[in-house]
Amino acid sequence: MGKIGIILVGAFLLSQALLSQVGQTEAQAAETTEYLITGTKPGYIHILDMKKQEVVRSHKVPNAGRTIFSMAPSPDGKVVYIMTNRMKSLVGLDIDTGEQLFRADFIEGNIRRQGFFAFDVSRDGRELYVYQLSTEILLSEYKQLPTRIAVYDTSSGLNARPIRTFEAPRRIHMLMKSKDDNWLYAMGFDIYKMNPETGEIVETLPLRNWTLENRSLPDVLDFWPLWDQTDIFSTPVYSVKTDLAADDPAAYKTGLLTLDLESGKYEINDFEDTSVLIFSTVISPNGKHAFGTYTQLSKIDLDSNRLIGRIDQDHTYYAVNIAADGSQVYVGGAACDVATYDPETLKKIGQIFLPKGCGDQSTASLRMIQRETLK
Amino acid sequence: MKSLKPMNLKAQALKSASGDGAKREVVAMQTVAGCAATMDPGWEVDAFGGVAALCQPMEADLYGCSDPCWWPAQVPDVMNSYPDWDMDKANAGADWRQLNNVFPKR
Repeated sequence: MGKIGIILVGAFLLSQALLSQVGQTEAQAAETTEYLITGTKPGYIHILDMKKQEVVRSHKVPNAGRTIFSMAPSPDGKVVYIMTNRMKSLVGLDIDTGEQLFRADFIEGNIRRQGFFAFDVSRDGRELYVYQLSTEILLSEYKQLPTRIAVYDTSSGLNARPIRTFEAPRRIHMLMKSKDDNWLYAMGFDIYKMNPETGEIVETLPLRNWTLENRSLPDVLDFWPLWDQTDIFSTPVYSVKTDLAADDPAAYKTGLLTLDLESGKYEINDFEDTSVLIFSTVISPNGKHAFGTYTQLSKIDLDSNRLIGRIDQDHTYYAVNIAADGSQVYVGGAACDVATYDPETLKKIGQIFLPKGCGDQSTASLRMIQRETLK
Repeated sequence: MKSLKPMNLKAQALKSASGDGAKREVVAMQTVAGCAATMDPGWEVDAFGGVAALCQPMEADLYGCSDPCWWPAQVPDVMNSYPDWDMDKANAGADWRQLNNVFPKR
């Protein structure tokens, strides 16, 4: 064989080897698993394979101040962003290795700045939106500065500074990016639809300013981002019918607020006379049911807007999420375990106690991701 | 000022600020901000006027409410003033007896 022949054979063999490698890589990339993410004191995040009912990763968050609050995964499921350090820092951690890839510490000189749960990552994974409260600490005076939303570039590394900021209404406790990335929803007294470039409020979805007749102001408490499977934010809403006697149980209503982050559809529907408290809710992937948690686990039929199931749980859980195929409901975000329930029977079918000392989840989010399987 | 002696923290701050041009930052009244910005009754009574709908057990709720400063009157301000209140006490159910009172720093 001449020199050219040897080169051709070599090139052929090399191309076959490369093709084989590409094939293997594609096969590996195709293997994905669904994981649940939560956090515990003193500053750990945990990655759980709920179908196997096991913890597959636990990472210590640097300078966490022992607290893990709200969390948001990157769209590719490789990074989880964490509100931590007493809500004075936002950290991005590699889910596989635990390496800190992003960090924004909010305090600047004598300006004490902190978040309050509300943040989200853009759907293209490039930007983070964080609600911040700023107080200028003078010698004997605290000077309140305007509340704002700061936007960070996720590629800014460990000393991230905002790439832009804009003023925002007070009392924001949830930020939600629309599925098309064009809008930023900020939930406070009402829900404000904002231009994420300028902060301009283009629409106000009424909540405190709702116009229901013979109805009290609504009561809402929510800082749990739990829309991973449906892109529908939901939360319980409590109110009182003022045309009924105060001792009439029918005067007290629990409703469900839903905001579709894809279509923008916004609804509030009563589903029961208030008989228990519910802290957070999640919509099932088929859109037919909602599940709510606190000390009870509740199941709501969304066609008829009726409560159709309720069981007592072992203890109070703040946060609820659901598998992508709708086959399991998960509760956690309080104490140091995550429980699994059958969505049909509401029977408990699993419970995972979290490692690293069984620390308290405090108010950690429960997020679901689908990503390349962790080895 | 020569014949005046500061008797409390405010007066001390005023005295020490007078030399470096920061006197205007010391004002007679101040706004309490931070943890006390949120105030819920908590712990005593639930939405129905009883106790059955409070978190069960209380320990499942302790850090969930103290970390975001929901009970500034009942537990220390861990957001700013006493961030180490929970140090080495990660599990409220097991460690609650070690969660101690705090006293103003001098």
